[in-house]
Formats: sequence, C-alpha cells, structure tokens
Amino acid sequence: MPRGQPSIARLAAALLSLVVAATILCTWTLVSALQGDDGLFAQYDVAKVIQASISRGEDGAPVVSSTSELDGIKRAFPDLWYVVTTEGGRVHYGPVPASVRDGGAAAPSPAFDGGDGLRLTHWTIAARLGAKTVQIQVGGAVYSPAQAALSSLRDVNYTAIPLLVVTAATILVALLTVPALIARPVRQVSRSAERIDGGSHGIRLPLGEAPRELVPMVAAFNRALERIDVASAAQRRFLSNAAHELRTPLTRVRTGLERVEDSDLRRVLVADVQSLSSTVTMLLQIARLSSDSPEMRRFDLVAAARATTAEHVPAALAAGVDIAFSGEGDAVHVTGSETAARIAVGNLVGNALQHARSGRSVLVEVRPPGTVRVIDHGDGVETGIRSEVLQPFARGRSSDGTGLGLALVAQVMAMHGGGVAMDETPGGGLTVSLTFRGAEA
Amino acid sequence: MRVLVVEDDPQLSAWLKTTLSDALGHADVVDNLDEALAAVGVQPFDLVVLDRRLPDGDGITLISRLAQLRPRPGVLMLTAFDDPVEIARALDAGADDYVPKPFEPVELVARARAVIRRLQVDRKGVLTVGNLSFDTAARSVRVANNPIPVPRRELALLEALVRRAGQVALREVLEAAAYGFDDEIQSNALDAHISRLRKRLRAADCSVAIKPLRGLGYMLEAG
Repeated sequence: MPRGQPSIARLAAALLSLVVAATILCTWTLVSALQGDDGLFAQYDVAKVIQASISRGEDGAPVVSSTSELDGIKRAFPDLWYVVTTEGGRVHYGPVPASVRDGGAAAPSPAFDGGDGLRLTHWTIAARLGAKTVQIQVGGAVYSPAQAALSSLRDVNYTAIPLLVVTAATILVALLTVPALIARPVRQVSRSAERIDGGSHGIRLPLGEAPRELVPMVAAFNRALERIDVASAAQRRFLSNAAHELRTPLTRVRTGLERVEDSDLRRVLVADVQSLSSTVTMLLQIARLSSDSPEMRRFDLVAAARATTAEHVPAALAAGVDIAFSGEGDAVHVTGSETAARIAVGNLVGNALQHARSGRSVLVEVRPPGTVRVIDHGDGVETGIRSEVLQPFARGRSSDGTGLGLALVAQVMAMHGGGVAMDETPGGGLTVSLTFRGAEA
Repeated sequence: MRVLVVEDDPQLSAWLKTTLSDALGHADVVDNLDEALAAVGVQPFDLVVLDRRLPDGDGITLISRLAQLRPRPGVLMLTAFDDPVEIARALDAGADDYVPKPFEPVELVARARAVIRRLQVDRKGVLTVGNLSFDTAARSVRVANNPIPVPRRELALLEALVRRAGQVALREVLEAAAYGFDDEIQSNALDAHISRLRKRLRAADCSVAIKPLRGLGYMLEAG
C-alpha cells in the first residue's frame, strides 16, 4: 500500500480504539463514583498534601505551611482535622477528637452518608522528614462520589498507569488486527483484478467474493471492463476490415503490374507498390499495438530474438550479408509481449540488412538482464537525427524504407517500459539496443 | 497438376488462374466456399489456393473438409490479415502455408510449388534439393542419382537439414534429430559431424552447400 494514502481500515481501527478507550475510562469513573468514599481516599489524599507542606521549625517542632492546595482542602472539608507529630513536638488543626489527642482510638464521627455503614474515622501515616520520622493523622474528610471518581483518576500508581496500559494495549491490538481484518476481502478482490491483463478479454471481477461494501465498486468496474471489451472488439474489427480493404486493391495493382510491358516502368511501379504495402503493414501493426495492449508474460528473449534472426537468414544470404547471433548460451527471461518483441527485433534486423553493405555482417546479440542489440556496419545514423528517426515517417538520409519501422520499435519498447538506444558501431555503422525490463521472479 | 483457386475478387482470381496455369498446370476458379466444396467433390486437386474472406464465410472452415480428401490437396492460404494470431489460426487449422496479401507473384508461385513438393515428398518419401535426393523410406542418399554411403548420425542430420532446406535449422533442432536422450553430446560433436558430412557431399560433387550460421545453426542451400 502506498504511504500517504488515506486508509479506511486504519481510520476504522483508530475510531474503534478511541471508543474502547473512552468506554474503559467512563466505566472506571462510573464504578469509582458509585463505590463512593468511606474516608479512605479523601483522608489519604489530604495526608499526602500535608506531608508535602511539612517543614521543621526552629524548635524542632513540625510546621505545616499554608499552601493553596491545603487551603482548598480545608475549605472543602469543614470537619477536617489533622495532627502532625515528630520527635520535636506536634501541631494540629481542626476539631481533633479527644481520643486522638490523648493517643487512643478516635471517637466515631457523626457524619455517615449511606454506603455499607462503615466509615474510616482517620488515617495515620508515617513519613520521612529529613532523617526523622513524622506521623500524620488525618480525619474528618470524605469525598463526594464525583470527587471520589476524580481522585481515583488522579492516582497515578493505582489507577492512571494501569488504565493507560490497558487502553494503550487495546489501541495497539486494534490498530494491528482491524486493518488486516478489513483489508482481507479487499485484497481478495484486488488479487482477482491482478489477473486481468490487457490481452485477455471477457474477464470480470468475481462479485460473489466481494464484501457488501465493495459490491457497487466491483460492479462498476465490471461494467467498465465490458465497455472496454466492446470497444476493443470494434477496434479489432475495424483493423481487420482496414487490412482487407487496403490489401485487396494493392494485390490487384501488384498483379496487374505484371502486364506492364515497359520493364523499367514496371520495376519502378512494383517498388512503389512494395513500399506502399509495407507502409500499410506497419501502420496496421502500430494501430494494433496502440489499440490492443497485448498479453504481458514471462518469455525467453534469447529464444525470441534467435528465432526472429533465423527467419531473416534467407533474406540476408540473398542480399550477400552475413548474419550471426550471439548470447545463445543461456535463457534471458523478461516480462512482456513476445509477439511485439519479435516484431521490434524483426524490424531492426530488416533495417540492418537493408543498410548493411554487401559482404559485411549483421550481428544480433542478447545480453542479460534484458538487452537485444542489433549491430550493423552500414552508413549509420548521424547523432543529430537519432531521436528524430524514432518518430513516424522520419527517415534517415540513406533510407528508402517506410519511415515507420523504428517508430514501431519505439512504440513496442514504450509499451514494455523499456528503451531504445542508438549508438555508432565501432568501425562504422549503427548499433540499436532494446532494453526490456527483467522478469519479475 | 491441377489447382483450384478460391477467390472472390474477379480481377485477382483471373490473374491467379492465368499465372498458376502457366506455372503449375491447369487452374480452376470458384468464388465461394460452396462451389469450392462442389469442385473438390468431382475432381481431385493437387493444390487449393484459398482466400480467407469469402462471401459465404471464412476460408479456414474449408480446410478441415479438404484434409479429409484422398489424396489430400495442399492448402495455400491467401490472406489480407497479418495479425500473427490469425496466421497461427490458419496454420493450426491445417493450412500448408500462407501468403499475405499483397504478395510478390514469384513468391506466390514459389510457395505454391513448395507446398506441392512437400506433399509429393510425403507421398513418395523422397526429398530433393538440387542434385541431392534423400529417400526417407529407404534412408538412402543419392547425389546426381549415384548412391553415396552416409553413416547413421550424419544421415539424421542431413534429413533434418534437407527438410528445412532454404531455412535455418537451429543447433538444438539438429542435436535433437541426431542424438538420443542417452547420448552425451560433446559441445563440438554437432560441428564435427556436419564437417564430415560436408566433406562427403563435396567429394560426391553435390550442388547443395551447408552454410554455418554463428549462434544459430546451419542452413542447407541449393547451389
């Protein structure tokens, strides 16, 4: 999946984990609020605040400094009392029960607010103050349900960290599993789509396997495929009609020329008809390649180029040109259309034979990972016009061809995402290299 | 030699009739599939020159009917389609060769002759190139009608070459023809055998030449 693309599955996972996290927090808050406070939470919290405010006075007795937090607590709990005792003395605040002041158990506090009827009267905690120990006793404070919930969330050790851990773990699991679960049916549909290639027609995405949410998209995609099939069938019919309508009269003209008695005239006219015929052939090939993207599959470039070279041997020998092939040892697999590749190599070999001087040689060479080179020792093509001759109807100076062969080669290579390069053959002539993409393993 | 031309273009069929009559023997012309079937029913033909696009259908549909005839006529397809798929369809259907339109008159006649020659070879079992004849039934070779002895492997190579005369016989095709699965083929064994075969043919004053083609194989050329 490309990065930066919005992902429905990730969004769903994020939303889901937010919902889960909110649910956990709400449940916890609700439970804390309903459970209420029997004095335990409030008095413990107050004792912690007092501990933070204690310092030692000059006489060794403890001093509880007034802090805004402590002041707030005193305002919130009117019945609050505390006693702070150190070796050096004690300080107290509020209505300290006589029993505590005397060192005994605290008398029951008058205020009960429901619950199970149990109430913690006061807390006694021991804390360190420098090297000494300090005892803090707190009573007379109790949280309301809302305060109890808030306080439990503020409690880092016992509530906040476990809650955070559970929530984070939930989000992590959701982020990891939900996208995979949601993406699986989508991947199934895309795997079916991968099987569709330009050359095979009548293939549709299976509607049965698609999840309900994707059905409209799959159906629309299938309708589009159908329209493409209809259009490409019409195009093929058109091309086959065009081929017939162009070639039949050409055949008539060519056979009619046999009756021309003036042999010089006949030779000129026959050459014209031949040139027109090959123009028609190449135009049709170009049209077919542009309209009907051929099937791309793995094929052996060596076998294809070698067979094409072998087909040109009789013509080469008739023209007195030696032709050879190099790189026949090992297969070189590339991905593409073998038919199109053969047309391209055939055109290059045809060009090379046309330009090769008699007695010189043409070499077709295949090299891994996917290069075919056709090397001739003809007049070559000037550097300046090399990219020009790849355009339709552009000819090199010495060419008497249709001006379409190299355009066709360029089109085939563009179709393969490959390239055409023209270089000078050492010692004179043209070397054309076709680079195919290597086969995907 | 009798030739049937199935072509609906009047001008072209007239030319084919004249040209093929001059080159091969008598030629008859029909312009649709029905008439073609009727014609082969009453008269055996050596060669049927068949157009693809006919008024009552695709010429391909006639090929299977022609293949049932005894003796079977050779089928040379004329086609304005140059789509490789269409060409393959015609050959797969049983056509002996195809000639794309527009064709060079000499090429058409040469290919028509080649089809007839191949069929005759099939009937008599003798392949002939230049002054070399290869009897596939008796497995014997004659140069200018004089028998010459050729050892087994060279004979197999010669047969493969003669069958592809004028075309490249790729190395692997020749190796497959001359060596069995169990033979250990030395990398230069083929070249050594071909070299001996060439000497043998040259000594017998044979008019054919075996041309080596680097990276491809060998080709038998009629001298």
